[in-house]
Amino acid sequence: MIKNNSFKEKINEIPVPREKLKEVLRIEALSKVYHQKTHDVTALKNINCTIHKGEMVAIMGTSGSGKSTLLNMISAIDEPTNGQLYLSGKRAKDIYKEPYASTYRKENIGFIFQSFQLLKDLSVEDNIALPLILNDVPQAEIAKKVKWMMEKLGISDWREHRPIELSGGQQQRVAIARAIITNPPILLADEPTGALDFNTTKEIMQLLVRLKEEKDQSILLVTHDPYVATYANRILFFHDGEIVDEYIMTQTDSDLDQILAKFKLITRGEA
Amino acid sequence: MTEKEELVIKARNGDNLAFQILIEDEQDALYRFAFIYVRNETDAIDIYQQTVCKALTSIHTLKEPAYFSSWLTRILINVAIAFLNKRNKTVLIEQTDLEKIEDPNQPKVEEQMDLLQVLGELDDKYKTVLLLRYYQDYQVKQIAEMLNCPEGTVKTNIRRGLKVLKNALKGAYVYD
Repeated sequence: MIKNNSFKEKINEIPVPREKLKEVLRIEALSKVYHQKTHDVTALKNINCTIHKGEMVAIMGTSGSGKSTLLNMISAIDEPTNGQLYLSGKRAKDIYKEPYASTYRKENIGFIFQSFQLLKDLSVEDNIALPLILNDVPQAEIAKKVKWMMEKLGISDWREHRPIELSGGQQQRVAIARAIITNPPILLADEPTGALDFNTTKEIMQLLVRLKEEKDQSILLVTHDPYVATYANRILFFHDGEIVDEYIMTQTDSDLDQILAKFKLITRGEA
Repeated sequence: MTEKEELVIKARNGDNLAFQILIEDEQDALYRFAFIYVRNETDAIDIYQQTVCKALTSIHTLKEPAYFSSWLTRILINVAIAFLNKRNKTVLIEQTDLEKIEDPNQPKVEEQMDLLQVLGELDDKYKTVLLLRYYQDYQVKQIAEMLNCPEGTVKTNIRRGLKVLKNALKGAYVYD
């Protein structure tokens, strides 16, 4: 017999690191070196960063600065040379070989792209249902979840349409629904508004913010557009494979100017 | 139907906010449970996060909303044990080991061992049932269902786990 509540009280003395429990992605000293015939190319150097639940982090940088390489590391498309990467507590290092890498991606990552990447022969509803089918979710559950998601994103009216019948903004909404239907810890968005006009860009970014706030969705967003970056909570600036600067949004009018100034510095190579 | 059960149904239908509310209620207990297995913050965080992730993606498999807490705890136990097996860091202290420690020919250990330390070093099967019984207040029948083993096995493991605690902690937490 345990005495009184002393057992419980003692265990309840263990401090709970509540902030750290909200970490979704933790990257420690990550680097990637490509070995070419005549020389080595360092695509990423000593990257350290953390993304929390419900946080949108934007990555900005010139072409070749390491942004895509980082996304490839996070999504286990490619393997780091050094360092550690943890996604929702799982060490990504353990899953770089197939078939583990595909399973890891299926269960943990949502993707949206500049070119939407919807399957042209499937309806909107079937495009959204596909990740659930691939995750062996029962049919009755799929129907419920897809219905809920379409209502949440305001796309129920298009359920039977093919992607080609939709505008760019509508297609990206469908792509977002598909990306988050399995509740992945992190959504990777690679230039999601690159093919959209200004008003549609605003609409899509407002949708991502709503997801961030209502679903606690963590989002890592690659963009070259400083206006798009203003929707994030913070911005990491990449240059030559390193994080050279960081900007935390102040939610004031000066944010866009600050981001523009920092982006100009890195594009001029002065970071 | 309770408010919690309604939240579980909403979460099962895809309402992530409902799921977050449910998890926040269980957060501290889940983390502390994980900590007892691995005895360090970093690994406990990893186990907690893996548990939440698994729960989120498999909540559609939960048939009875009333069993949400026990279902979640069972996921955590499986995650923790898989984690430890992989890391190969399970340390066993059986009763026989303690008898050796208490060899009368050896100098007595003056300082009492801490509950958390002893609990953390117990064999997983004792640790699990003691946490479920005395930390989370599940009854033997519920524990047997959660662990998919006979009630007799649960009772035996509780008894043996308590004996190890009693011997190590010299009556500080356990009645004779």
